[in-house]
Amino acid sequence: MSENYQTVLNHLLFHKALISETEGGQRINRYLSMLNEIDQGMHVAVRDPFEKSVVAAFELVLERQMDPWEINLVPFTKLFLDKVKKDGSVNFVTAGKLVFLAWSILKLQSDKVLLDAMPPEPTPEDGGWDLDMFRDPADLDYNQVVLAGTATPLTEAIHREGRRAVTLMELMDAFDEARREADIQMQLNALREQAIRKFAPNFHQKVHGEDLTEDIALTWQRLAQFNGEPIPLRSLTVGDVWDEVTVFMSLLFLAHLEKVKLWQKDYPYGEIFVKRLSMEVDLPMEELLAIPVLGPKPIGTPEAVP
Amino acid sequence: MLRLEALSGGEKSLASMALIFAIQEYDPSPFYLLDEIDQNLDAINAEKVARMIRRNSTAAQFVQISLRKVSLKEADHLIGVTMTPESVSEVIMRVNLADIEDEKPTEVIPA
Repeated sequence: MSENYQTVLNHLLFHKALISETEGGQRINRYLSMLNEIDQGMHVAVRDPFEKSVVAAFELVLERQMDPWEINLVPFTKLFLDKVKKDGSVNFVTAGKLVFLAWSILKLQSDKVLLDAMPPEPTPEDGGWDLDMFRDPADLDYNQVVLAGTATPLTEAIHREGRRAVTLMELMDAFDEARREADIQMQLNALREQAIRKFAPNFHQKVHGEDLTEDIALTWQRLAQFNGEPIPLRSLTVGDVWDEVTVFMSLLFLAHLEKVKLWQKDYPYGEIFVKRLSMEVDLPMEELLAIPVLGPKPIGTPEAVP
Repeated sequence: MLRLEALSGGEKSLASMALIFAIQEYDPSPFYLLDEIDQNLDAINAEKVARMIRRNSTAAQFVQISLRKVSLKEADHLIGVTMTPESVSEVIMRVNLADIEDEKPTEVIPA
Protein backbone atom coordinates (compact mmCIF):
# COMPACT_ATOMS: atom_id res chain seq x y z
CA MET A 1 0.00 0.00 0.00
CA SER A 2 2.76 2.44 0.94
CA GLU A 3 4.69 1.61 -2.29
CA ASN A 4 1.62 2.21 -4.41
CA TYR A 5 0.99 5.40 -2.53
CA GLN A 6 4.55 6.60 -3.12
CA THR A 7 4.38 5.62 -6.83
CA VAL A 8 1.16 7.59 -7.36
CA LEU A 9 2.55 10.55 -5.44
CA ASN A 10 5.76 10.64 -7.49
CA HIS A 11 3.78 10.32 -10.71
CA LEU A 12 1.55 13.24 -9.82
CA LEU A 13 4.47 15.42 -8.72
CA PHE A 14 6.32 14.64 -11.94
CA HIS A 15 3.37 15.68 -14.11
CA LYS A 16 2.79 18.74 -11.99
CA ALA A 17 6.34 19.83 -12.62
CA LEU A 18 5.85 19.39 -16.40
CA ILE A 19 2.64 21.34 -16.88
CA SER A 20 2.08 25.01 -16.38
CA GLU A 21 0.02 26.59 -13.57
CA THR A 22 -3.18 26.50 -15.56
CA GLU A 23 -6.37 24.55 -15.15
CA GLY A 24 -4.36 21.36 -15.46
CA GLY A 25 -2.30 22.40 -12.44
CA GLN A 26 -5.40 22.83 -10.37
CA ARG A 27 -6.55 19.38 -11.35
CA ILE A 28 -3.25 17.87 -10.29
CA ASN A 29 -3.51 19.74 -6.99
CA ARG A 30 -6.96 18.24 -6.44
CA TYR A 31 -5.56 14.78 -7.10
CA LEU A 32 -2.79 15.44 -4.60
CA SER A 33 -5.26 16.55 -1.92
CA MET A 34 -7.31 13.42 -2.59
CA LEU A 35 -4.17 11.38 -2.13
CA ASN A 36 -3.55 13.09 1.20
CA GLU A 37 -7.08 12.18 2.33
CA ILE A 38 -6.67 8.52 1.48
CA ASP A 39 -5.64 7.77 5.05
CA GLN A 40 -9.02 9.04 6.20
CA GLY A 41 -10.83 6.66 3.88
CA MET A 42 -12.47 9.51 1.97
CA HIS A 43 -11.67 8.16 -1.47
CA VAL A 44 -11.83 4.44 -0.99
CA ALA A 45 -13.13 2.72 -4.07
CA VAL A 46 -16.14 0.60 -3.20
CA ARG A 47 -16.75 -2.19 -5.67
CA ASP A 48 -19.40 -4.32 -4.00
CA PRO A 49 -22.82 -3.26 -5.40
CA PHE A 50 -24.54 -3.41 -2.03
CA GLU A 51 -21.85 -1.38 -0.29
CA LYS A 52 -21.77 1.04 -3.21
CA SER A 53 -25.51 1.66 -2.87
CA VAL A 54 -25.21 2.29 0.87
CA VAL A 55 -22.32 4.69 0.31
CA ALA A 56 -24.31 6.45 -2.39
CA ALA A 57 -27.27 6.91 -0.04
CA PHE A 58 -25.05 8.28 2.72
CA GLU A 59 -23.16 10.59 0.39
CA LEU A 60 -26.42 11.85 -1.03
CA VAL A 61 -27.44 13.07 2.44
CA LEU A 62 -24.04 14.57 3.17
CA GLU A 63 -23.30 16.24 -0.14
CA ARG A 64 -26.80 17.45 -0.99
CA GLN A 65 -27.27 18.77 2.58
CA MET A 66 -30.53 16.91 3.00
CA ASP A 67 -32.27 16.69 6.36
CA PRO A 68 -30.16 14.08 8.21
CA TRP A 69 -33.28 12.81 9.99
CA GLU A 70 -34.69 11.80 6.61
CA ILE A 71 -32.35 8.80 6.58
CA ASN A 72 -32.73 5.98 9.11
CA LEU A 73 -29.35 4.45 9.83
CA VAL A 74 -30.71 1.44 11.72
CA PRO A 75 -31.92 -0.58 8.68
CA PHE A 76 -28.60 0.08 6.88
CA THR A 77 -26.70 -1.17 9.93
CA LYS A 78 -28.83 -4.31 10.10
CA LEU A 79 -28.44 -4.96 6.38
CA PHE A 80 -24.68 -4.52 6.56
CA LEU A 81 -24.41 -6.82 9.60
CA ASP A 82 -26.51 -9.45 7.83
CA LYS A 83 -24.25 -9.22 4.82
CA VAL A 84 -21.12 -9.58 6.94
CA LYS A 85 -22.59 -12.61 8.68
CA LYS A 86 -23.60 -14.12 5.37
CA ASP A 87 -20.29 -13.49 3.58
CA GLY A 88 -18.15 -14.46 6.55
CA SER A 89 -15.54 -11.83 5.72
CA VAL A 90 -15.24 -8.12 6.34
CA ASN A 91 -13.55 -5.54 4.16
CA PHE A 92 -12.36 -3.27 6.92
CA VAL A 93 -11.47 -0.43 4.55
CA THR A 94 -15.02 -0.32 3.18
CA ALA A 95 -16.50 -0.90 6.61
CA GLY A 96 -14.45 1.99 7.94
CA LYS A 97 -15.67 4.25 5.17
CA LEU A 98 -19.28 3.29 5.92
CA VAL A 99 -18.79 3.86 9.63
CA PHE A 100 -17.25 7.25 8.91
CA LEU A 101 -20.17 8.25 6.69
CA ALA A 102 -22.72 6.99 9.21
CA TRP A 103 -20.93 8.90 11.97
CA SER A 104 -21.06 12.06 9.84
CA ILE A 105 -24.82 11.68 9.45
CA LEU A 106 -25.27 11.02 13.17
CA LYS A 107 -23.25 14.17 13.88
CA LEU A 108 -25.55 16.14 11.59
CA GLN A 109 -28.58 14.66 13.35
CA SER A 110 -27.30 15.60 16.81
CA ASP A 111 -26.37 19.10 15.60
CA LYS A 112 -29.90 19.52 14.30
CA VAL A 113 -31.38 18.34 17.62
CA LEU A 114 -29.22 20.82 19.51
CA LEU A 115 -30.21 23.59 17.16
CA ASP A 116 -33.90 22.78 17.56
CA ALA A 117 -33.57 22.65 21.34
CA MET A 118 -32.22 26.18 21.56
CA PRO A 119 -34.78 28.63 22.91
CA PRO A 120 -36.17 30.87 20.22
CA GLU A 121 -34.61 34.28 19.88
CA PRO A 122 -36.87 36.89 21.44
CA THR A 123 -38.55 38.93 18.83
CA PRO A 124 -38.33 42.70 19.24
CA GLU A 125 -42.03 43.03 19.86
CA ASP A 126 -41.79 40.59 22.82
CA GLY A 127 -38.81 42.34 24.32
CA GLY A 128 -40.53 44.65 26.75
CA TRP A 129 -43.08 47.31 27.14
CA ASP A 130 -44.30 49.32 24.30
CA LEU A 131 -43.59 52.90 25.33
CA ASP A 132 -46.62 53.91 23.36
CA MET A 133 -48.67 52.79 26.34
CA PHE A 134 -47.81 56.11 27.97
CA ARG A 135 -49.82 57.96 25.41
CA ASP A 136 -53.08 59.61 26.17
CA PRO A 137 -55.05 57.01 28.20
CA ALA A 138 -58.07 57.63 26.04
CA ASP A 139 -56.20 56.24 23.03
CA LEU A 140 -54.81 53.26 24.91
CA ASP A 141 -56.19 49.76 24.72
CA TYR A 142 -54.99 48.78 28.17
CA ASN A 143 -56.09 45.15 27.92
CA GLN A 144 -54.19 44.74 24.70
CA VAL A 145 -51.04 46.21 26.25
CA VAL A 146 -51.25 43.92 29.26
CA LEU A 147 -51.87 40.84 27.14
CA ALA A 148 -49.02 41.68 24.77
CA GLY A 149 -46.54 42.71 27.47
CA THR A 150 -44.30 40.55 29.66
CA ALA A 151 -45.10 42.03 33.07
CA THR A 152 -47.82 43.96 34.75
CA PRO A 153 -46.98 47.63 35.20
CA LEU A 154 -46.96 48.62 38.84
CA THR A 155 -47.86 52.16 39.65
CA GLU A 156 -47.87 53.46 43.17
CA ALA A 157 -51.27 54.58 44.28
CA ILE A 158 -50.82 58.14 45.48
CA HIS A 159 -54.07 59.66 46.61
CA ARG A 160 -52.65 62.99 47.65
CA GLU A 161 -49.22 64.55 47.32
CA GLY A 162 -49.39 66.57 50.55
CA ARG A 163 -48.29 69.93 49.29
CA ARG A 164 -50.89 71.76 51.39
CA ALA A 165 -53.02 71.17 54.44
CA VAL A 166 -55.97 68.80 54.16
CA THR A 167 -59.34 70.44 54.14
CA LEU A 168 -62.22 69.09 56.20
CA MET A 169 -64.14 68.17 53.06
CA GLU A 170 -61.18 66.21 51.68
CA LEU A 171 -60.93 64.35 54.96
CA MET A 172 -64.62 63.48 54.92
CA ASP A 173 -64.37 62.39 51.27
CA ALA A 174 -61.40 60.18 52.16
CA PHE A 175 -63.39 58.52 54.96
CA ASP A 176 -66.29 57.99 52.59
CA GLU A 177 -64.01 56.49 49.98
CA ALA A 178 -62.40 54.20 52.55
CA ARG A 179 -65.84 53.07 53.73
CA ARG A 180 -66.91 52.36 50.15
CA GLU A 181 -63.73 50.33 49.52
CA ALA A 182 -64.29 48.37 52.76
CA ASP A 183 -67.90 47.66 51.74
CA ILE A 184 -66.77 46.41 48.32
CA GLN A 185 -64.14 44.22 49.95
CA MET A 186 -66.67 42.71 52.33
CA GLN A 187 -69.05 42.01 49.45
CA LEU A 188 -66.22 40.36 47.52
CA ASN A 189 -65.31 38.22 50.52
CA ALA A 190 -68.93 37.18 50.92
CA LEU A 191 -69.17 36.27 47.23
CA ARG A 192 -65.92 34.33 47.46
CA GLU A 193 -67.15 32.35 50.46
CA GLN A 194 -70.45 31.73 48.70
CA ALA A 195 -68.64 30.40 45.63
CA ILE A 196 -66.43 28.18 47.79
CA ARG A 197 -69.48 26.78 49.58
CA LYS A 198 -71.14 26.10 46.24
CA PHE A 199 -68.25 24.65 44.22
CA ALA A 200 -65.91 23.24 46.90
CA PRO A 201 -67.90 22.76 50.09
CA ASN A 202 -65.05 21.14 52.02
CA PHE A 203 -62.38 23.54 50.73
CA HIS A 204 -61.29 24.84 54.15
CA GLN A 205 -61.28 21.38 55.67
CA LYS A 206 -59.05 20.12 52.88
CA VAL A 207 -56.67 23.03 52.92
CA HIS A 208 -56.25 23.18 56.67
CA GLY A 209 -57.08 19.59 57.56
CA GLU A 210 -53.59 18.12 57.18
CA ASP A 211 -51.85 19.29 60.30
CA LEU A 212 -49.69 16.32 61.21
CA THR A 213 -48.71 17.80 64.56
CA GLU A 214 -52.36 18.15 65.53
CA ASP A 215 -53.11 14.60 64.34
CA ILE A 216 -50.29 13.14 66.39
CA ALA A 217 -51.30 15.09 69.48
CA LEU A 218 -54.90 13.90 69.05
CA THR A 219 -53.83 10.27 68.66
CA TRP A 220 -51.57 10.57 71.69
CA GLN A 221 -54.45 11.93 73.76
CA ARG A 222 -56.52 8.91 72.78
CA LEU A 223 -53.66 6.59 73.66
CA ALA A 224 -53.16 8.29 77.01
CA GLN A 225 -56.61 7.08 78.10
CA PHE A 226 -55.30 3.54 78.23
CA ASN A 227 -53.01 2.36 80.97
CA GLY A 228 -50.08 1.29 78.82
CA GLU A 229 -51.22 -2.21 78.05
CA PRO A 230 -51.13 -3.32 74.39
CA ILE A 231 -54.37 -2.38 72.65
CA PRO A 232 -55.70 -3.04 69.15
CA LEU A 233 -55.33 -0.14 66.73
CA ARG A 234 -59.04 -0.16 66.01
CA SER A 235 -59.64 0.86 69.64
CA LEU A 236 -58.17 4.24 68.77
CA THR A 237 -60.31 4.94 65.74
CA VAL A 238 -63.88 6.11 65.46
CA GLY A 239 -64.88 4.12 62.42
CA ASP A 240 -64.44 6.30 59.34
CA VAL A 241 -61.70 6.10 56.77
CA TRP A 242 -60.34 9.59 57.39
CA ASP A 243 -59.91 8.89 61.10
CA GLU A 244 -58.42 5.46 60.39
CA VAL A 245 -55.81 7.05 58.11
CA THR A 246 -55.12 9.82 60.64
CA VAL A 247 -54.49 7.39 63.49
CA PHE A 248 -52.54 4.98 61.31
CA MET A 249 -50.11 7.63 60.10
CA SER A 250 -49.80 9.32 63.50
CA LEU A 251 -48.84 6.00 65.08
CA LEU A 252 -46.05 5.56 62.52
CA PHE A 253 -44.56 8.89 63.55
CA LEU A 254 -45.04 8.05 67.24
CA ALA A 255 -43.23 4.75 66.69
CA HIS A 256 -40.41 6.66 65.01
CA LEU A 257 -40.24 8.96 68.07
CA GLU A 258 -40.12 5.80 70.29
CA LYS A 259 -43.32 6.80 72.02
CA VAL A 260 -45.18 3.64 71.02
CA LYS A 261 -44.42 0.15 69.81
CA LEU A 262 -46.37 -1.20 66.86
CA TRP A 263 -46.67 -4.78 65.80
CA GLN A 264 -49.02 -7.03 63.90
CA LYS A 265 -49.94 -10.64 64.35
CA ASP A 266 -50.55 -12.76 61.29
CA TYR A 267 -49.38 -10.20 58.75
CA PRO A 268 -51.08 -8.85 56.69
CA TYR A 269 -54.61 -9.62 57.91
CA GLY A 270 -53.98 -9.85 61.64
CA GLU A 271 -54.78 -7.35 64.33
CA ILE A 272 -52.42 -4.41 64.73
CA PHE A 273 -51.42 -3.72 68.33
CA VAL A 274 -50.15 -0.53 69.92
CA LYS A 275 -48.30 -0.20 73.21
CA ARG A 276 -47.36 3.06 74.86
CA LEU A 277 -43.69 3.27 75.69
CA SER A 278 -43.86 6.71 77.24
CA MET A 279 -46.13 7.58 80.14
CA GLU A 280 -46.24 11.31 79.41
CA VAL A 281 -49.77 12.71 79.30
CA ASP A 282 -48.89 15.32 76.67
CA LEU A 283 -46.12 15.11 74.14
CA PRO A 284 -43.38 17.74 74.56
CA MET A 285 -44.07 20.73 72.33
CA GLU A 286 -40.54 20.71 70.88
CA GLU A 287 -41.03 17.14 69.65
CA LEU A 288 -44.35 18.05 68.03
CA LEU A 289 -42.89 21.14 66.42
CA ALA A 290 -40.02 19.08 64.98
CA ILE A 291 -42.52 17.12 62.91
CA PRO A 292 -42.45 18.62 59.45
CA VAL A 293 -45.41 20.21 57.73
CA LEU A 294 -46.95 18.24 54.89
CA GLY A 295 -47.89 19.63 51.52
CA PRO A 296 -46.23 22.39 49.49
CA LYS A 297 -43.41 23.92 51.45
CA PRO A 298 -40.38 26.11 50.82
CA ILE A 299 -37.05 24.53 49.93
CA GLY A 300 -34.90 23.61 52.92
CA THR A 301 -37.63 22.42 55.30
CA PRO A 302 -36.98 18.98 56.85
CA GLU A 303 -38.28 15.85 55.14
CA ALA A 304 -41.10 13.97 56.85
CA VAL A 305 -39.86 10.49 57.83
CA PRO A 306 -42.28 8.23 59.64
CA MET B 1 -46.03 28.81 28.47
CA LEU B 2 -42.61 27.94 27.08
CA ARG B 3 -40.28 27.38 30.02
CA LEU B 4 -40.80 24.83 32.80
CA GLU B 5 -38.83 27.04 35.18
CA ALA B 6 -41.82 29.36 35.28
CA LEU B 7 -43.96 26.67 36.94
CA SER B 8 -44.24 26.16 40.67
CA GLY B 9 -43.29 22.83 42.25
CA GLY B 10 -46.89 21.68 42.33
CA GLU B 11 -47.51 22.74 38.74
CA LYS B 12 -44.40 20.88 37.63
CA SER B 13 -45.64 17.77 39.44
CA LEU B 14 -49.06 18.02 37.82
CA ALA B 15 -47.64 18.69 34.35
CA SER B 16 -45.19 15.80 34.54
CA MET B 17 -47.84 13.43 35.89
CA ALA B 18 -50.23 14.47 33.14
CA LEU B 19 -47.56 13.69 30.55
CA ILE B 20 -46.67 10.33 32.10
CA PHE B 21 -50.28 9.24 32.49
CA ALA B 22 -51.07 10.36 28.96
CA ILE B 23 -48.26 8.16 27.67
CA GLN B 24 -49.45 5.29 29.86
CA GLU B 25 -52.98 5.80 28.60
CA TYR B 26 -51.66 5.04 25.13
CA ASP B 27 -49.39 2.20 26.22
CA PRO B 28 -50.63 1.00 29.64
CA SER B 29 -48.52 -0.78 32.23
CA PRO B 30 -49.91 -3.42 34.55
CA PHE B 31 -48.08 -2.01 37.58
CA TYR B 32 -47.15 1.49 38.77
CA LEU B 33 -44.89 2.57 41.63
CA LEU B 34 -45.40 6.23 42.55
CA ASP B 35 -42.96 7.74 45.04
CA GLU B 36 -44.31 10.81 46.86
CA ILE B 37 -45.78 12.34 43.72
CA ASP B 38 -48.16 14.39 45.86
CA GLN B 39 -45.48 15.96 48.03
CA ASN B 40 -45.63 19.36 46.35
CA LEU B 41 -49.36 19.43 45.80
CA ASP B 42 -51.92 21.26 47.86
CA ALA B 43 -54.74 19.22 49.37
CA ILE B 44 -57.18 19.94 46.54
CA ASN B 45 -54.84 18.80 43.77
CA ALA B 46 -53.50 15.91 45.86
CA GLU B 47 -57.05 14.65 46.20
CA LYS B 48 -57.68 15.04 42.46
CA VAL B 49 -54.57 12.99 41.70
CA ALA B 50 -55.55 10.40 44.30
CA ARG B 51 -59.00 10.05 42.74
CA MET B 52 -57.51 9.71 39.28
CA ILE B 53 -55.26 6.92 40.55
CA ARG B 54 -58.27 5.36 42.21
CA ARG B 55 -60.16 5.41 38.90
CA ASN B 56 -57.23 3.89 37.03
CA SER B 57 -56.70 1.23 39.68
CA THR B 58 -59.41 -0.87 38.06
CA ALA B 59 -57.08 -1.53 35.12
CA ALA B 60 -53.67 -1.58 36.82
CA GLN B 61 -52.06 -2.00 40.20
CA PHE B 62 -50.75 1.12 41.92
CA VAL B 63 -48.28 1.21 44.80
CA GLN B 64 -47.97 4.76 46.04
CA ILE B 65 -45.60 6.07 48.68
CA SER B 66 -47.28 9.01 50.33
CA LEU B 67 -47.61 10.93 53.58
CA ARG B 68 -50.76 12.75 52.50
CA LYS B 69 -53.98 11.69 54.15
CA VAL B 70 -56.04 12.73 51.13
CA SER B 71 -54.06 10.20 49.07
CA LEU B 72 -54.07 7.43 51.68
CA LYS B 73 -57.82 7.82 52.10
CA GLU B 74 -58.37 6.60 48.53
CA ALA B 75 -56.22 3.49 48.94
CA ASP B 76 -57.51 -0.06 49.22
CA HIS B 77 -54.75 -1.12 51.60
CA LEU B 78 -52.33 0.79 53.81
CA ILE B 79 -48.84 -0.50 54.47
CA GLY B 80 -47.12 1.43 57.23
CA VAL B 81 -43.35 1.38 57.43
CA THR B 82 -41.47 3.20 60.16
CA MET B 83 -37.81 3.19 61.06
CA THR B 84 -36.86 2.94 64.71
CA PRO B 85 -33.61 4.51 65.97
CA GLU B 86 -32.12 0.97 65.98
CA SER B 87 -32.58 1.04 62.19
CA VAL B 88 -35.13 -1.76 62.34
CA SER B 89 -38.16 -1.21 60.16
CA GLU B 90 -41.59 -1.89 61.57
CA VAL B 91 -44.13 -2.90 58.96
CA ILE B 92 -47.84 -3.01 59.59
CA MET B 93 -50.63 -3.43 57.09
CA ARG B 94 -54.22 -2.34 57.23
CA VAL B 95 -56.02 -4.24 54.49
CA ASN B 96 -59.35 -3.48 52.86
CA LEU B 97 -59.55 0.12 53.95
CA ALA B 98 -62.56 0.54 51.69
CA ASP B 99 -64.53 -1.82 53.93
CA ILE B 100 -64.66 0.77 56.67
CA GLU B 101 -68.00 2.49 56.50
CA ASP B 102 -67.45 6.15 55.84
CA GLU B 103 -70.03 7.44 58.25
CA LYS B 104 -70.15 9.37 61.46
CA PRO B 105 -69.32 7.19 64.46
CA THR B 106 -72.00 6.32 66.95
CA GLU B 107 -69.45 6.05 69.72
CA VAL B 108 -67.02 8.92 69.95
CA ILE B 109 -63.74 8.50 71.72
CA PRO B 110 -63.21 11.55 73.88
CA ALA B 111 -60.20 13.35 72.49
